[in-house]
Amino acid sequence: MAAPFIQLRGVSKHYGTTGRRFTALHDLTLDIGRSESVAVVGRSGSGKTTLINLLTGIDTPSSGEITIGGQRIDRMSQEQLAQWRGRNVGIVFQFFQLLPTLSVAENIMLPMDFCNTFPVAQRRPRAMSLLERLGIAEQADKVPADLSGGQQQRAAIARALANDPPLLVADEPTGNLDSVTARDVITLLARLADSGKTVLTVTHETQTEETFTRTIALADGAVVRDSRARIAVPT
Amino acid sequence: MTTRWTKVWRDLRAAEGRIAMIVAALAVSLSAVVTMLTAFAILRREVPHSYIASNPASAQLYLDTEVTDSLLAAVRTHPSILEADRGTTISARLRFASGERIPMLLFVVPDLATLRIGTVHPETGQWPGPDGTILIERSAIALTRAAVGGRIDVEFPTAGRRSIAIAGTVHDPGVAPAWQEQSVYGYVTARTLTALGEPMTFRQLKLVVRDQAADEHAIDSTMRALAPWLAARNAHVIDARVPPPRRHPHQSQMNAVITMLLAFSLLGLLLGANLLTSSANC
Repeated sequence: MAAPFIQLRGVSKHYGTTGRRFTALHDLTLDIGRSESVAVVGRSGSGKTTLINLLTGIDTPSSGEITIGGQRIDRMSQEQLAQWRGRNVGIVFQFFQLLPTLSVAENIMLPMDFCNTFPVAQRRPRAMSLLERLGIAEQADKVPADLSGGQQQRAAIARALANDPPLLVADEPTGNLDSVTARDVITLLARLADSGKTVLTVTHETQTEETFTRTIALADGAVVRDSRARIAVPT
Repeated sequence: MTTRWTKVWRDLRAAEGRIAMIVAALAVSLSAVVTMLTAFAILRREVPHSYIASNPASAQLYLDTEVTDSLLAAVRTHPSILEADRGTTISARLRFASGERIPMLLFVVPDLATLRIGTVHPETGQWPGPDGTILIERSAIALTRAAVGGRIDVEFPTAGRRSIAIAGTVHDPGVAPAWQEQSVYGYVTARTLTALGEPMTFRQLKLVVRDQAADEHAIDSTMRALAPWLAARNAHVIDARVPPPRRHPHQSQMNAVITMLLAFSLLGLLLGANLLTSSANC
């Protein structure tokens, strides 16, 4: 049996000094397989963002082991983490974080340029292909400010997929969208797992079982619920 | 052009005015740094060179009696003395037509052309100038609000207000810039001063020691040994000044000012660079 794509073993994260220590995650052990679409839910302060930061290598655990795709990222230096993140993780933010002076297509081509993952001649066609897949190809040469919120978030998802990473992480991607657009984006993210991506989405959406294959609920830095969907994701 | 350079170019275009200001700030601060470094290099080399070339005194002794021709000749034959000269200084005031006054320091010597210690170099006008005229240090001529050939009113301690013609300008490597001190430096002969009615006697003995001229303690020892020798000739030392040997009296101030200006220019460059990096829309 193949090892899970993501393995967390006894992961804890503390902030502050010994006298005023705050535990954001407490002895977390978790396995997530390839192609799973996982919703991470919980109240504010439950540890969702800390978990996402650890899985993306933005932060390092106070103790425990984190293995992703067979690589121990908790042992990597910041430089190694930056290189690993560029090729293995796509991140979608709540406020899109698209670069305002670049067109939508150029926003998607920039990670390919930084990580040198695709030859120069292939970058524009790949960006167009991703935008086509997300349904906003006609917006390719516009700047982000000319797009609606939903279109910007789709562009941000396309950018996260630019280097074809095996892991896609979205931190409250619908927090800045209306309910209809939010539903579309959540469905879009969940469906990316069908193409082999492992998708982790931190969300406040309540009906996650309808969309994601798995829902992990956190409270006070610990997993309080880990449920699998009973209904297949609609295609 | 790759996407990253496209981003850099567009970011620059998006804030043209700001970038122009940053470039201007960097250019100005960089010019300031280069200017200060150049000034520092030149002044550190030239000021000591020029000062030493003026044959500065190792020590100045103030006697209770006049330094007569015979006493000066005797001192010049003393085995520990390489060179000796006499002079005096008078604190006066320069008075303008408006009634405004500024300090004036008059260096009085027997003959400007035969100065042996603390020599000055002619710059413009007449040299050494006829009796009854004055020479002004080149950095002080602007403070006099007069030109070479013009006249200035000087208030002497005893003779009072006297008008005197400016014969020319000189460069004295041993004084601080007049604009910095806000004091006018003038050079006159004893004959001129006497003709103006101001009494004076040469009680200042300027000396250059023969050995260890760069050693302050050695100079001090020489002066201590010289004092009884002078006393035996009825000339008692009432004050002795040993300046830092072969070092311009204002070298430390100059270094401090230039270092401060250099620090400010570097700070400006640093702030400009910080502006540039903080403006880059990463």
